[in-house]
Amino acid sequence: MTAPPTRRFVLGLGLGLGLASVGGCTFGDDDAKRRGLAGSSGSDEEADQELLDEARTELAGMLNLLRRTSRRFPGIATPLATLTALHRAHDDLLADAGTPSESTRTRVPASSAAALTLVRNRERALQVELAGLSAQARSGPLARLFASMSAGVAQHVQALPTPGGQA
Amino acid sequence: MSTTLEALQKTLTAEHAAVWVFATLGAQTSTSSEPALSAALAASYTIHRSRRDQLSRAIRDLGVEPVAADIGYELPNAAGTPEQVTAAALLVESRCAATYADLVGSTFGEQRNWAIDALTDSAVRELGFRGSPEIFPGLSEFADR
Repeated sequence: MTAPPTRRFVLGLGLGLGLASVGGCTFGDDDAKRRGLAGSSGSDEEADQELLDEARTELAGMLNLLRRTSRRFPGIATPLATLTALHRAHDDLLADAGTPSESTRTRVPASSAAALTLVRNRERALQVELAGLSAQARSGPLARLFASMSAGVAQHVQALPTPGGQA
Repeated sequence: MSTTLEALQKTLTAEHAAVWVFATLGAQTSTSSEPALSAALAASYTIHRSRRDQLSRAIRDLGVEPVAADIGYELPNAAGTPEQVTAAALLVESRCAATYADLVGSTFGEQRNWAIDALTDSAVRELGFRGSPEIFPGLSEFADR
């Protein structure tokens, strides 16, 4: 069974501790310019820290929306619960590595169909956001993690029921 | 993390295998009796062939010879029934997702964007082969989450 990730592991993803960074070089000469264990710059760490903070902010906003939507429309709480579990698992992994800011509060629509559509659209936006964070990450392992999170959101959105009832 | 070139060659190796597997699974699947499965296999074959070609071009652009396909491959499991074919297809897409995840970590810029898109695409295709949504697609170290 895989051991749960430690705080050091997650911090290592974002802060370049013990991991090579691939930022800032052109394709083809990455080996020459790749920074080693002792060479990760403060700017790389700061940049990745900002990404971690941003990820946690986005996740907090999504969890807030899902909670309020489930409370207002218990009939769609079940599919939303799988999304909640997904984002909580992602946020748990990042919990010690990033600090969320206060996120924009989205109004829950008046109908469950509109609410489900809003959730779907917001999830797709989150998927794109996470892919963007992956693209920006200075740390390769952090980029890999964000990309996986994005793909996980994409899978879960695909499995969401449509307002007509079909997944 | 491997170098970018190593990661590209490793991904191309995976694509060679995926192309062969999906071609084989498609040939063993009746379009008339299993239209949805046949279509999904054809779509996977097409996308993996395209990725194989893109990777080959990218590696050649580096002045390096792309790794060649193996002489022969084996299916990951028996594929005599639609259920077995589906299971084999799911396994291949899952393995490809893991390979793309590694490529994300070993690349940057356009190469990384390509790998991110490929990872997401394979992860979603898994659902078409009766896969279930995962928490961390492509990351085997978190497979039990």
